[in-house]
Amino acid sequence: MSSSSVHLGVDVGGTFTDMVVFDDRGQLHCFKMPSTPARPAEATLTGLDEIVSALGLTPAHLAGLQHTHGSTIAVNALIERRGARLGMITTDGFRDVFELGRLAIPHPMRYDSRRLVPLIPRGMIRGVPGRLDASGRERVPLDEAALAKAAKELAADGAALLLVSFLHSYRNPAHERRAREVIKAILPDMPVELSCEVWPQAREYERAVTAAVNAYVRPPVERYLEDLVGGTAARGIGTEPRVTRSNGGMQRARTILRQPVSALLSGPAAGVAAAAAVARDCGWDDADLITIDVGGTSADVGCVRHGQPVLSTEEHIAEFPLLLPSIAVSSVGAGGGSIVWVDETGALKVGPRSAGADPGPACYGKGSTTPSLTDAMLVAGWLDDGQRLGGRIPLRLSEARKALSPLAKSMGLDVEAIADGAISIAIAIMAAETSHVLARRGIDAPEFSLVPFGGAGPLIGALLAEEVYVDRVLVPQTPGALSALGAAYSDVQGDLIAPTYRLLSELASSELGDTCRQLEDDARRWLGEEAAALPMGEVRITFSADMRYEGQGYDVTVPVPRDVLLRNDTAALAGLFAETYRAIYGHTNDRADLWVKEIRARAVGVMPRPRQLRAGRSSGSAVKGSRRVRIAGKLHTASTLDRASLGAGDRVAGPAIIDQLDTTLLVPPRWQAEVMESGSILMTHS
Amino acid sequence: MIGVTDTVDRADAKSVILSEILANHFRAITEEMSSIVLRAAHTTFIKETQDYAAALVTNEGEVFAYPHSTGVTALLGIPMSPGTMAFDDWAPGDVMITNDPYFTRGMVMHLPDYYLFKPIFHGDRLVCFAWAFMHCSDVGGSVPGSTDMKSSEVYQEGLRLRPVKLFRRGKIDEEIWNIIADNCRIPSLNWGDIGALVSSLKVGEQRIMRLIDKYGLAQVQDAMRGTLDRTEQRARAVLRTIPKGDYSFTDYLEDDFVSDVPVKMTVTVRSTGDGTVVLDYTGSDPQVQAALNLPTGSQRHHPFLSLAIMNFIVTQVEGLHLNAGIVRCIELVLPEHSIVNASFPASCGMRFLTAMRAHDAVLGAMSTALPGKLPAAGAGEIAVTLISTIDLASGRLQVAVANPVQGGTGGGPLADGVTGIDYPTGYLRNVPAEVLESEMPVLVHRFAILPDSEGPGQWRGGFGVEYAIAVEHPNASIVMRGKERYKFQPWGVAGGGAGTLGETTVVDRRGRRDIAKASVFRPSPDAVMTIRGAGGGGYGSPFARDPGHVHRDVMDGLVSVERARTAYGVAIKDRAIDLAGTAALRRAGTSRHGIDLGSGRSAWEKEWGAVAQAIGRWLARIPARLRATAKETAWTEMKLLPIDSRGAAEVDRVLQELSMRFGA
Repeated sequence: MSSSSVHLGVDVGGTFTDMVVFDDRGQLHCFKMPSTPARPAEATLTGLDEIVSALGLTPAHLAGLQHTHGSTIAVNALIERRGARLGMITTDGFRDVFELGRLAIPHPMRYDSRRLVPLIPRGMIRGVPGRLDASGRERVPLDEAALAKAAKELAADGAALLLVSFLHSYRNPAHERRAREVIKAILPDMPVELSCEVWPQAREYERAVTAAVNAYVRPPVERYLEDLVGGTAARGIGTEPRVTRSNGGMQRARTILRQPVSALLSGPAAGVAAAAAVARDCGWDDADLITIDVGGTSADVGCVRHGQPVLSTEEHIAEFPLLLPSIAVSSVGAGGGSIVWVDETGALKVGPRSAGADPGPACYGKGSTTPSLTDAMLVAGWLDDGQRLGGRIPLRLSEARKALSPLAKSMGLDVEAIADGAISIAIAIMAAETSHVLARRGIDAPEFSLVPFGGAGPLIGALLAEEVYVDRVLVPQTPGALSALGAAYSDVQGDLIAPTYRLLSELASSELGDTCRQLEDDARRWLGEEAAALPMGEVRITFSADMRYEGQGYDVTVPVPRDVLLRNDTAALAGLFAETYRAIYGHTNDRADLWVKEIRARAVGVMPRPRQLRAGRSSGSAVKGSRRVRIAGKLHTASTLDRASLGAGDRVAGPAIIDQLDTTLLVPPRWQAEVMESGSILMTHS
Repeated sequence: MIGVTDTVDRADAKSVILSEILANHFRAITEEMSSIVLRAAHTTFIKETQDYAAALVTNEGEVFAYPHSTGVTALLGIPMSPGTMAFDDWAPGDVMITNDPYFTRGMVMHLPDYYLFKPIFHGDRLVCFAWAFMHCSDVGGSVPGSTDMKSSEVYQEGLRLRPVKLFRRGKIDEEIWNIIADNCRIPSLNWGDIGALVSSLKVGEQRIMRLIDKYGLAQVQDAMRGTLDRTEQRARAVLRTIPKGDYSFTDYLEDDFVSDVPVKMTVTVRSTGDGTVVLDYTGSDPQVQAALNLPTGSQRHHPFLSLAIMNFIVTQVEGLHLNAGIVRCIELVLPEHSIVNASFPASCGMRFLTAMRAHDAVLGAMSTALPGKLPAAGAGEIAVTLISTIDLASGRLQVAVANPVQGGTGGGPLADGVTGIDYPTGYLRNVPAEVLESEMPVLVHRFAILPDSEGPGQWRGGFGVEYAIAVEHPNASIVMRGKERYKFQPWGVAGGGAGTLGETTVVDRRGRRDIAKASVFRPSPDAVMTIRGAGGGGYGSPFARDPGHVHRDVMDGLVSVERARTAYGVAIKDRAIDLAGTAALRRAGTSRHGIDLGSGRSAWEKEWGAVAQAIGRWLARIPARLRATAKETAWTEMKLLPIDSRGAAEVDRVLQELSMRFGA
């Protein structure tokens, strides 16, 4: 299903707000606005005005505009600790759930390593008597008097919201719900958040953290969405904004306020989801992809398997462990701003510190003399002297050389050799981390393709691919604004979970079926609410089970057909587990018992896709000239091309450099680039 | 040596860059190997306690790449030549297995650790080894879990296997496996774990071979040596900051579980000023008749006795490649047949307690060598708790690991200590109550911070914690090991106060009782057992602590108003700091200096210190192999002396008599 409405995708980042528009003919346009962190919606609204006049959008276009927004607002509020002042009431004896976390410290060999500072200080947490056991049975009744007293104290100490998180509430929500009634009776205006309603999954620390983050980031997200809803309505836009979620999908601005934690990773997640969509547009419906988003301070690595972004339920975002399914994105401390330095033994190093965005790398000419990876790329000729980054900042080769020359002197090499070395080391770090990330996800990657994006991704993509033994690189049309594109492409998508926590052999005869039916009802209700305000098409509800062999530390999420659950077919479930397990580890253990931990449901409402023009025909005149570039220590003459002038079917043999507004693409020697019908460029290694 | 000079030649500089590139790849390989072990392992012990590791090792037995973010950190720098040189007929596809501390001269240090080695070949050339280990939950022996604090010989601790090839040219030797399987309580789980290790080694081999294909054999081998050399150089640069001289400290394991006599660990940190540190453990006690002995094979370098210096180096150096280069500059002097260099057949199941106390002793010595760089002593225990029940219907034995209960780290030097953990075991994770209760008939009553348990200081120690559980099963047992600092507190430094003590109590219908460090407890269903870990020692005078920090601790319920006044000289009135009152308190108090050993150790030293010293001097004259027995005998005699006749003369007389018996 594709639609002729105008589609807008937005990604509000810390520095830039990226916007992509598919006009009513399906032509793709890209806009970049400076972000306005104090009122993040402002940049979007100003950009919208610019788009309206640049594309000549009519009131009819605006009335039917389909617009979806991703942002880093929630995660920044979390990192900068700008959220709500919270109080928490928990089970007596577990007041220190945040302070103790999972006990371990991040870097045990370092005497300066510390646990994360909790969002809620100990003084704002109270334990009250009342206890359920793992089966949900009440062992100690809730002490309502103690609860009321605790609530009053926390309110008096300035809590703007009370979080209630009791042991085993994922199994039986009764105590948490009763707690809300008791609090509402004495403090009618106090907002109350229940851990069982945010995400009902076992593990008291992670569930409480998930609920706390949810409540914590709500005020800034609320402010932003109010501005956005009001501002878009005032401009005659007839549709409600949608917000991208960490799971790669989206939902309505009004309904996401119940669960803002689900939008925490919305920008990076939309980027990975977009990579999958870009591959589909190329006709790769079942693509296996590694995505790498190379920004200023870090590179974010994600995966797509069989056309679907790989999700994780053990993600740490800004060091907080969150249980909600999120597109798995791991950060590597190497990006364009990574500092190049020489250690005390004379070894060249890159990162993990970064020059940041301001003053940025030395070549920005803003007064920094600290050499960074971007400076090295400029010296190597990957970027051009005087070239404007993102159309804005002119790069100065002389500053880059000046910054790198002390390192060159100390190592007895010339500046070019230092630049080569720094780039190779940065790529090695990214490659090393990428293979580690894949291993953690249980993925061995020989058949994967790499999708590089972000400002510096397409420069590094092909060489990184060589290091991780991948020989196909897919470069999207707008690598510098891929998250915005992902937003425009996204479908409604929600996740639900229900606990089982039982040995397969001990499951009651109708347990799987009952759980399945309950999840299905909830999923339909959730989708119905979204459909009330969105032009949703086909609806899909799929199920999976989290399972493991007895004694193991990790669950394997096994996709399970609905009828297997409805029939309570435990033998089929065991078979499906074995199949999935074997695919990951190459063996099974037939003697071990199986745990079924949770049943999950995913609800998807398919949205009308923007109609998209195919790439134009070749103009035959894309070559602008040539320049000298150094790649892995060798000097080459690379032709330089303009991406806008390339058409479908055009082939470019490396070494070559392809420039476009939002990024530069390097085609190294022994690589071939070909423009595909969809407008993406496929690079292959010969 | 490559220095920051203008005279380096270009070829060297380029090989340094290539070596840096490859060092990143080496690390990634070990992280990948390590992830495979963790994900595919079957026993609770690996998943919850992270007691496993994987690394790459040179043919000479040096670890040249080690993961940063997973598994046990303390094995970095283990001397591996007893493994790599175990055979001279290594062939592609071989996998060696061993768990024998004595045959491998301190490479393996207790029987539950199975070490696996796989040689990596390029053509017929042996390039290096992939190595991985895990702590098996059971390898046979006298108790489930194999570690009984009261074992006196290694024979009681399980099956001992000198290096043997489990796989020959890719084919498993079923006979070897059957021997392992028949001598442990959980063969199928162990098989799952060993399978995970073997997969991890295979991946290590494939990845190294790929690097060789891409970069060439010579470059890869150069990089292996280069990364070791550069880590060594960076480590030496840190150690050169320690002023030349000898710095000594003594710490104790407060008893040895079979007697109440403390086990002394004395270390002299000898800085040569040129980047080498010698840790001389002369003066430490003989090995004991309990599972505390640390068999280090008289090695010149060994991480388990160098933890504090290694951590110090890693804390000081940014972006250090972790490898055995770190331990090259830490040299050991170890007395024979001692607690830190035990010889066959000493039992060693819980030898990590000894490594932890060696860590503390070095911290103490370093506090005078380099004030302001290292923290005070932490809780220094590991308190592993295993709960087992028999499923009444199926008869199946269920074993689960409950929380490892530890106290806090020491405070300082620049921040407060961490609550509920100590650095040498900082990778340990707790077991969520909701998970434990779903898998076992257990009810967790509390897992909470103990207020007022911190050693006070300008930077206070981490708080102790308590963990209270009940097992609702008629036939359950709780096996505990690794408890310490129940008598001698974690000490404070630079004027900081000592921390508290650990304890274990039981409350049931018969009332409350102290079970201290009992290794097995069979709970009745109405019993609640509470394990408490000690608070860490403080750093710097508590009167120098920012009153705002004291106030924050009071508001958080961590420090009482009374303690704020007495320990920190801070007056809190109506939930605010009383500035005038605070100034008055601080004027009246006296600022403290130096080390606070704590009341437990001070009281013991007052009563027995002179006797212990006399025995120590006497033991030095006894043949090394007899010292363990001699020490035990001497203490038995001393305890028989009436309290008023423990004078120097009397003590010497007793020792003189014993000298005949022990051939001195």
